[in-house]
Amino acid sequence: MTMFFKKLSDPKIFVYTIMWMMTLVFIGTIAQREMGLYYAQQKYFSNWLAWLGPIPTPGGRLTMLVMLINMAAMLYKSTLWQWKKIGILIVHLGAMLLLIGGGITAWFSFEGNMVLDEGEQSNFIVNSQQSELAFINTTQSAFDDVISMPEKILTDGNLLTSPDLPFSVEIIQFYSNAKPIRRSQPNNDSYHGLAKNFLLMPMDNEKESEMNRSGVLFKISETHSDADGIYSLFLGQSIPQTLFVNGQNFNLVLRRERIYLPFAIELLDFKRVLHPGTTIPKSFSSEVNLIDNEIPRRVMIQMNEPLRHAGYTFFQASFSQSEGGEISILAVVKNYGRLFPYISSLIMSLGLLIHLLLQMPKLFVPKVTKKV
Amino acid sequence: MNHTFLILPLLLLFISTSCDDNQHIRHYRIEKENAPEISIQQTSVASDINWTSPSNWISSTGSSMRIGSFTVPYSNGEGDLSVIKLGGTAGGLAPNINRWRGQLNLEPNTEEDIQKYIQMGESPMGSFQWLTILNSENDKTAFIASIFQTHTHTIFVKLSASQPGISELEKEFLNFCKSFRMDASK
Repeated sequence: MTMFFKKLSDPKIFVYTIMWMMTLVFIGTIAQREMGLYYAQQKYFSNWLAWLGPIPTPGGRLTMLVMLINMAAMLYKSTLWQWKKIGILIVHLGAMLLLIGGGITAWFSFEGNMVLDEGEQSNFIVNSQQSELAFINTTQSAFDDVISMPEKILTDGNLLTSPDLPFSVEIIQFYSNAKPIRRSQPNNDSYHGLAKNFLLMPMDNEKESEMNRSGVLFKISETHSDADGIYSLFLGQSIPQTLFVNGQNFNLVLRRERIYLPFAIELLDFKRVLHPGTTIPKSFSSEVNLIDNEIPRRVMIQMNEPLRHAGYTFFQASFSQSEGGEISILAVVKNYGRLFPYISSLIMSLGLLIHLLLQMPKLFVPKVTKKV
Repeated sequence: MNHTFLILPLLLLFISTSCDDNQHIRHYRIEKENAPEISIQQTSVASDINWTSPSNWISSTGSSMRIGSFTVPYSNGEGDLSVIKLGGTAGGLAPNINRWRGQLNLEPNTEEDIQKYIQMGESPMGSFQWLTILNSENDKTAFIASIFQTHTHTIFVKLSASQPGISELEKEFLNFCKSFRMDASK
């Protein structure tokens, strides 16, 4: 066991993983020119394995986990637990905290956009990178029940059931980017709605991942009615597919993944200031009402001055023009690991300072050279 | 000195964080939402007429007479929309409407009868008339159509779908007709 930890705590592992991370950063930077930022991040940094052609190599996630385990194993060395090395130990713990923060950010954080027309109110953000298949039970007059299936589980052949759905859903095929093509003649009666007259043709992913129009072909069964059959939906299909099963009405829609917030934001006014004599924006800002527990609070969100509330941060990201007026686009981030880099940097600085102070007396001791 | 306790929590942390929260079916209750807004995209045609059409309408190829042709999806199927431009009065209002009625096995109406149910709309290109044609004995096919009369031409916009489809698409169809305008550059 001791031998095992000795191997695991070999400083060479740290050196190699650092070098491999630098290589990944280089490859990822080059690759993003061709495949776009999002896909390059996913392929090289957010995966356990990064495939370089047919060759599997450690992805960013695996590399950093190995680095963390190696650093944790180094703590096993009794030589590190000495007063004179307390500075190094603190630096070591700070670096580990940084990696743990990275892990927490990678797994638990999310970001999206809130798109608001002037005068409009919203309590959800949309993830522009991921879709969801939503079954919206509209039977009740006061509220809607939403059963949503995130893109990660819309894998080919996956059978999805929920106690809140009176039918089962089998994903036949999911397309990250597809185009609806009209069939030369209608398909047989097992196909319903759009699927009867259209097929979804898979397409290469766009470089700008937000431009992809995902599509899904799925089978609904166990309705014990004519509603059993094959359906298809694509992103941006503004009119949802409807389904009537056991006296309940469902809207079926493939849409950008929604994350509901425990409060709402209302856009009161969007302002855009241009550089004089040009059409280049100098600044843009959104005056909003933050409505929490039905109590509105007026806040200004502008460039470099985000709104922080309940763990969410709202940045002024962009704007657009609609027929009705201006549209403000807010980037929304919830990052549980947000404070880790600050705290770990402080810890590492403190560790380096202590180490410097402890080593300082050596600077004033004259070196003894042996005379031959 | 035994430091195993330092390694185990770290491993446990990573094992637990591997459980991605975003891999499960979610169920939540929300207040009723308004019907989704239909995003509009600009469409230009090889003609002197321009319009804006909903983004989910799919351009299709129709007969050569059509200056615009769309496949229009709705919840349980898809409709076919055509825009046809003919010279002069194109034979008059009543003969054209009766031709469509004949396609649905309905008896022809007189001009006077038609004026009782035909409705008016406004667009930047001028006012237009519109109507729906339904056969109560056949809900599989129905029409909603509009007719624009200019000084030199008549423009027919006709959407063919099932009766429920026509009801569902009426608002979209009328918004489409209200967007018709002349392109001065052509």
